[in-house]
Amino acid sequence: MKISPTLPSIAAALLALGGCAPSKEDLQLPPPPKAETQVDLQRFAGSEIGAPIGDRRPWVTHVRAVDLDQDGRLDAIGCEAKDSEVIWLRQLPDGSFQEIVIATQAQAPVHAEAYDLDADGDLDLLVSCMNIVFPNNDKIGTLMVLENDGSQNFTQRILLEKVDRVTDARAADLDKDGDLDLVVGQFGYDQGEVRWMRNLGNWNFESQTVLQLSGTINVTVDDYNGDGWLDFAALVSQQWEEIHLFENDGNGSFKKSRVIWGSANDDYAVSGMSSADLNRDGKPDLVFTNGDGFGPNPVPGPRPWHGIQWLENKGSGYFKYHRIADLGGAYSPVALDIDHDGDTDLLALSSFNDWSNPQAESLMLYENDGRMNFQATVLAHEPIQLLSIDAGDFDGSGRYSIVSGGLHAYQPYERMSRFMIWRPQ
Amino acid sequence: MKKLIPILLALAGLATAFLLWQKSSKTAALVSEATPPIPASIENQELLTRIQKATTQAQEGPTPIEGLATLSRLYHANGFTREAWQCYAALVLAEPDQARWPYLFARILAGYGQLEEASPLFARASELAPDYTPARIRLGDTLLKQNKFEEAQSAYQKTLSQDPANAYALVGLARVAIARDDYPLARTHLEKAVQTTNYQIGADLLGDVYKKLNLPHLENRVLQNTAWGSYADIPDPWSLSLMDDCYDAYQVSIAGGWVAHQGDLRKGLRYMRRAVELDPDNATLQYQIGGAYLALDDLERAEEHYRRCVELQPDYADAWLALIDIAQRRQSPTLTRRTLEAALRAAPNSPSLNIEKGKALLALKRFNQALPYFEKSIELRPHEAVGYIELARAYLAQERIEEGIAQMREALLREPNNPIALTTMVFDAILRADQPAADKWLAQVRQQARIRPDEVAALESRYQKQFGQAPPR
Repeated sequence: MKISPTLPSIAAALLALGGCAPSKEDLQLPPPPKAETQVDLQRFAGSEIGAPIGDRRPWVTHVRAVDLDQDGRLDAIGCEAKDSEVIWLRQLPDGSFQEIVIATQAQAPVHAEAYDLDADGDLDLLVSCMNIVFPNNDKIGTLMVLENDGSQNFTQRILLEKVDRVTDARAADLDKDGDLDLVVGQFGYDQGEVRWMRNLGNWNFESQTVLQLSGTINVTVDDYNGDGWLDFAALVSQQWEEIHLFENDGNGSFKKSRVIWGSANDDYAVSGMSSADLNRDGKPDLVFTNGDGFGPNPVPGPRPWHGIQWLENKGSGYFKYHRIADLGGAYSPVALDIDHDGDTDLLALSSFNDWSNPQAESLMLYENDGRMNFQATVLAHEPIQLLSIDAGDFDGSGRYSIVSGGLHAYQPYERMSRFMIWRPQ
Repeated sequence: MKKLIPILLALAGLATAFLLWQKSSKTAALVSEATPPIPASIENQELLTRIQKATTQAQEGPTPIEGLATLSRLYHANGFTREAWQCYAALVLAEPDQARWPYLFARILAGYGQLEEASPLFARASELAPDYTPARIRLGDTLLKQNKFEEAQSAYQKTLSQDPANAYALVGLARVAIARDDYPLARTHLEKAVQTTNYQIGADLLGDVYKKLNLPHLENRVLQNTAWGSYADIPDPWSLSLMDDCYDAYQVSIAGGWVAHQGDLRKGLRYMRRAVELDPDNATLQYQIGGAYLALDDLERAEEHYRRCVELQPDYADAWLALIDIAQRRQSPTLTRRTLEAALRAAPNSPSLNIEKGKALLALKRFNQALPYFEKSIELRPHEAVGYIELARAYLAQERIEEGIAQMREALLREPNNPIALTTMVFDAILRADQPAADKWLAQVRQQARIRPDEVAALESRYQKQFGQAPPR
């Protein structure tokens, strides 16, 4: 029997037609699971520390928990950008805090870290100064050290000045020569850069610029590729919205930086990054927030994509993105095992939220169930506009307290705070 | 055999109809399955009603795909990203020839940094809509951020083959060149982008490239010609049109602001109007739209919105300042004076309004009355340079030089590179014939890109006259 050549074609077309209908099995890329948020306002009790707020509108840009005088009681240090002050909140034996201004002309400090930079046994402070916090492209940044004489008298030393505005600096022995070198993030505005500074001794440093791009907010130092040498990462905002990794080449220099994460949303608004081994696999991961409100909008507020996320270190300098939760105006991610159950939890702030809503989140906890699922809990609705937090065992009980700082540069000027401690209940 | 052919064809027709029906049913089942449950957090009643209607249509028909498409818009526009994600994941299957679905889906994914998943979707959108430039630019950007330089370069070059001066593609190519350490090539691309957009796109990166190439005079020229924060994202009508279905006044207002920043003030105004319609009693939105009308020289409408702003929030100093500006533009001294008085009554603790009052008194040469206003502005905002500068100017206008210079020094403590303060310090040093001080301040002036070359030249000329020699370089 002779079969018409059209028939097989028809049959094939029919088969194709039947086969091309999409089905549920074809659906790919399920959206991230929806998180249910609970509220527990009793878990931590907040109280003001340091000088009373009075009628001021504070601009606390950074807080860090550290035992600055090494007396066994945890203190806090803070940056007050409007008053250009670096402040030591010294914990007294009765658990109260004495506010001591240790730098009065710090040119809008925005970040301070404590290290024994000169290896004399006491803690010095490495202070990043923007000079002007709001948009400015002038080369007015300063990196300074407050050198401790051992009795908590501090002498100001300028390590960098008249450079793109400095937002973060960390110290680590990058070249393994026994002293602390520096990694410096310079936001600038339209121009900016990241550099590392090799310690030559006697407060002399040699700078090497490793990235010329505006917008660096934070830098973190760790051995990210597991080769035994310290690398560093930079969180770059502005329109770039990227995280760059700088891998140590083991020969006293760094390989060309590589983007390890980026968003194609130029309004993603990355706002803060910290380094922690979140999944406890022995490799340092990166936790970061997006929610920056210092943008061009008349009043900063939450955006649907703001939130907290982590980059899982897969080894050899490669990372995988995981969303943790949505959080409008998210800032200041802090990783710690807050409930001492053996896994790493996270704290974060909503610094720019819809403050007309009294139920808007301010201080948040994300508790890890040990399998990297995070339960979101609102710890506080107010004070509002907290910008920076840190945590530590302030009362020697083994339990974590939280210190916070508020920045009130935008309306509404209500429910304000300066420095606070949040003690576990 | 010939007799069988019509029968076979008829059977084939029936089979086709059956398969089409089956396909349609399968697609409808898929759409129904993919339709997200309605979130409980939707507060806007109109939005909720529209979502309910579209959900029913997507699940029960008729035209379920249309229902899902409407839902995707409503969810995406109103910040329900997960729900929009779910809709798009089905729409890319149900309507595989529609470029918008992979594009908008990829926008969500790439927005979160899921670039591996977003890239193929952007690529698909680019194939389906080769003329839609944002799809190809974003494809290039996602590839670039994954360090896939060859592929990113190809995406940008394809854009340039259609639009040879596309600034976003040129910036993309420049970033590829930088990643390869080819700074001269990056310079070429960026110079073209900057020339095309009059320093709006690529200028920030060009400054960094000049710095890297050790070309400080060119870096300075970029800094002098670039307005701070001038960068704007590529105009993207598909994403922007979502705002037509947004019920969140804040998000709509931001979209309007961005479009205006991109240069399309009238389109920006359209969204600002929608934001005001959604939340008419919001002072900030009234202020924003007032600014847009002012930029369009529509003083009447601008005034109307600024007045509404200060009605809603009497201490909104910036709105008062705009009203004063409008009165000045109308060349009405009486209206200017009355507005300023009303402003200060409503917002007595505004540093800017106190400065404005001081300046008004200074213009009338009522020096002693002006000074307290400048002093109050300093008291209110001591960390900013502006109050000190205005007070300094008031002193200098009275020829109280030492007091004026002292205030300028205070200003420089707050803003070390303030152009007005720096040039005043040079001028003062030259007048006092203090050559070392003039040298010091002039060196700082030369470092400040915001001081124009002709201003620097004028100071150098004065220096030469005073000291009989050119200032040191």
